[in-house]
Amino acid sequence: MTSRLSEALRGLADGVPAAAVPEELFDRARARHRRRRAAAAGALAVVMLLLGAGYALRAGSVRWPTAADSTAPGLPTRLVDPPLRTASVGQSAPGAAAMLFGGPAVRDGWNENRMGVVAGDADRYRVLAPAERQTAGFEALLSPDGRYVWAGGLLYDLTSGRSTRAGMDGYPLAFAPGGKRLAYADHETFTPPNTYATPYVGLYDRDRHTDVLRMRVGVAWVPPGRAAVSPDGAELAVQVRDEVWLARVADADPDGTAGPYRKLPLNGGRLPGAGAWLPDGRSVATLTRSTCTDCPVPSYPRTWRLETHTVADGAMVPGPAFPDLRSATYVHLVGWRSADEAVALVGVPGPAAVDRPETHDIATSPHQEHGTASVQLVLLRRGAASPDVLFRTPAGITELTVAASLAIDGAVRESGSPDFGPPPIWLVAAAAILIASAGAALQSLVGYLRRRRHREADGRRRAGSDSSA
Amino acid sequence: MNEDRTRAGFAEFVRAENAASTRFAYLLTGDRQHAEDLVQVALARVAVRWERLDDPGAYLRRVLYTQAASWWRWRRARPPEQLDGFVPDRPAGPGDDVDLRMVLQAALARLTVRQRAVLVLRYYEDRTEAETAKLLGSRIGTVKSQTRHALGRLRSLAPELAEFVGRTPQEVTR
Repeated sequence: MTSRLSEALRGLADGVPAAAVPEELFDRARARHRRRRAAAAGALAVVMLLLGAGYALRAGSVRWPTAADSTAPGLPTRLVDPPLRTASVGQSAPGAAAMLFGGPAVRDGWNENRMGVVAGDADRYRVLAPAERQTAGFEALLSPDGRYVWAGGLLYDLTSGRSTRAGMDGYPLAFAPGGKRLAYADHETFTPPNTYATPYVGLYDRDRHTDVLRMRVGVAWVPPGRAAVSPDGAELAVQVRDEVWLARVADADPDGTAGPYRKLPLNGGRLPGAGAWLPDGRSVATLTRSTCTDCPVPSYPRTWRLETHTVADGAMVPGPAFPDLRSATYVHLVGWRSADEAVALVGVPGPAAVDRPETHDIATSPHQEHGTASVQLVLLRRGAASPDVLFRTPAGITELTVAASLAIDGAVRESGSPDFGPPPIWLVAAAAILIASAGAALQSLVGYLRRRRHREADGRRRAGSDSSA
Repeated sequence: MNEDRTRAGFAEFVRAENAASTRFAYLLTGDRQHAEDLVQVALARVAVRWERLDDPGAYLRRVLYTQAASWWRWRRARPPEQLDGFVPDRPAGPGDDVDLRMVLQAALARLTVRQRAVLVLRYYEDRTEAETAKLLGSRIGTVKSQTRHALGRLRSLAPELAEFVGRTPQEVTR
């Protein structure tokens, strides 16, 4: 029966003439294939370019599903070096930060201005790269609530990833405890051969978009980290040479300028940074400097002791002494848990640190003492024999500042798996090029193997036909 | 030089395969014009991959089948056309039955492309089930079932073809 079907099918088809095949079909087909392949590759390249450009020029930051578990905000127990692929704050906003940090582990030859931030509620790491190198805790400050980084004349909003002009022309000195007012120093003047002077220190109100106070200085340079705003934002304390100058917003002229209403002598000491004002706003802390004999780092005997003075008459507030901070390059007060408990960041000297006198020409020195190897967050209690170390930066992270609200509340969270955000555009481009190169190499290899196999098969066929002939 | 040899090899292949592949395509589509288009498209694909093909003939049939299936899908989306009852351009021989061929052609047109391809490969090109399966890229079991379904459908569509396709599925087992 099936032979009848075969016959019937042949009866249907046998009269069909062979298709007309153009002579040039071979060349035309191959040329068309080459053109289509080139067009497809071009279209793919254009799409990749458009996607890459869109990714690089997008308006907002990328919402990135974080690997880190979100918890109640707190200072992390561990800090890691952000790898090269870490997203920037502009690419993917981390949220309010717990820490802003820097150091050799964060920077490299290609990213010499790089700083890292880690979020308060999870281990979301992001990086910032201002136009000029800034030192975290000195020229780059974190607002008390951790929402803003103030660096290089810009305010980076860590919750949106956007940055705006800070509103004034000068370098940062301190956030007010409420975060609404910013103390800054006008750019210094230079008188040859080596005299620098800060014309004035301003207090900028972010709500009013204007200075509410400009304290004239003019006689000395005010380095970063040597100013503090009172808890109510109405008074300013600035270290000018060996004195703390105090000025009030209420005393300002209509143009905002005012002179100091009091000058407290430092006697070789320092104003300990943004947290110098006590919570009551009637006392200010200072540091006295001495030399230890049984120092943790014998080559660096510099010792700091915290004292508090009333602003009314400069008298020292009575009470048990705070513990000495021995072998400490610098001390920055973050804030106060009570009048007897202060939280501070303390610089730990490394082997290269040299204990220079306070009169050393600061104009030629870095803002953070050279040789600081790590930073400790410590709790200083009146009457305690030694400070309680709450946190210490790992090797390679030599600059640190923290969100004051978390440090003062003692909010600490266990560190988890770090999240470094979406890959940066250069990494996406590099991966695309790598994949395309690997694909092209693989295609070439497969093509080569096929051609070789075909040549061998041709050779066998020819050999077979020769032998049969 | 190498390109010339490749071109010559392809030309030889076309000369050897053109007629058979056109008939194969015609039985798949039931239309001479479409069969010719199909053969040209398939040969163009063979030309592009010529150096990489171990068995160009098998690849040619595979492309004819897949393109016919694609064309089939396209055609099904269009209003159905009336079969024109094509009569081959040759004088009818003593054994020819024109009515029967028209019935067979109409019945073939009602099969799926895969069923037609299986029937054509098995009964027109006399290929084994294994060869058919390899050419269509399917399993032998599928070829068997498709053959059975195709013959069964031909029987139901045109009872007068019973003597060609057998009365029961067992009769068609090779």
